[in-house]
Amino acid sequence: MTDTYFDLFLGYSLVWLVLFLLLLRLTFFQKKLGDKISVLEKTPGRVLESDHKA
Amino acid sequence: MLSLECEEVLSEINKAILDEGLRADEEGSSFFSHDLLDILLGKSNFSLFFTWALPALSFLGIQVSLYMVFLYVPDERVMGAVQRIFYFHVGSAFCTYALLISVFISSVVYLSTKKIVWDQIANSSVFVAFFFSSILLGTGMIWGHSAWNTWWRWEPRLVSSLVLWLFLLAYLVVRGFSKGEVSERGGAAVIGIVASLMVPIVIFSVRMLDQSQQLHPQVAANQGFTDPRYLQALLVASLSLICFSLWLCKLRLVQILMDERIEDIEIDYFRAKPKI
Repeated sequence: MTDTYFDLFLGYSLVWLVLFLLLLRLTFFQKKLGDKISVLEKTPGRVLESDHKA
Repeated sequence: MLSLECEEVLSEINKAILDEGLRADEEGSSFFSHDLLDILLGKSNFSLFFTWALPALSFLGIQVSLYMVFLYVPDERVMGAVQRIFYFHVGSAFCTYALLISVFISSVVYLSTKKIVWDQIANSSVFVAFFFSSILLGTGMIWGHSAWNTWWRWEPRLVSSLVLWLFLLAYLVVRGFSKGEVSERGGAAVIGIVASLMVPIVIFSVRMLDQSQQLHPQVAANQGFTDPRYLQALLVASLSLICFSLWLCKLRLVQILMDERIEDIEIDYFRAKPKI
């Protein structure tokens, strides 16, 4: 029974690790996006102009 | 002819966007929202706490909780292994209640001050509260199926939890269809306040009937923790889940604030170039 519990512990730990890494990636992605938005705020219209060109 | 019609439609859209932007400025919303986003994504200690400390605490806390749940606490005498779901079931309930306190405070402050940043905090809290409330109902049903041989029973604790979940769902549906009007935000805040007022009802609903008339246990009410390890594991799991919920709240809040900021950038663009 202890072996089963240990396997369950390892399995759930792995699932949690994957979820944690995905959320951590999202955290840093938001930070990067925040910096880009700050740049865009100083030059309004940059995004839309590039859209029109595309 | 067609190009003239297009031009008219575009100028109407342009005017609507300009009006929206002016209205937002009148409310003074942009200033507070931008400030909060800068604080959350900046280089202050507060931001570092949300970027590094909270994820680290969540990771370690939940890892330790998993260790305690599977390898530290003993099997419960009557229910056996399935009782181990209890730590995440009750932990999720604590998170939902804590987040709903935040929803209550921010919704009341929003209704009295009309500052959009409070509405955004309530919105992010409800989103995460709905997530934990779903976990609460899901784990409860799994546990109930194993312990009571039924997925659902219409008894006070279960019904009140379901009503709370439905209120949170209603809030999210209202926000999903909302176009950011002040009245829509106000309506959502009222739903948020009503949902928060459900919390004491859910907590005390278990005392409405005698234990012999319902299957949901009254463990805490009857001081039923015989082994201190049960309580220790519950404490660690609850605290780690609360850290995790705060982290999720921050992620959702940043997303909402960024959406608003991008809309502001678009409005600035149309202000700078009114003729398309």
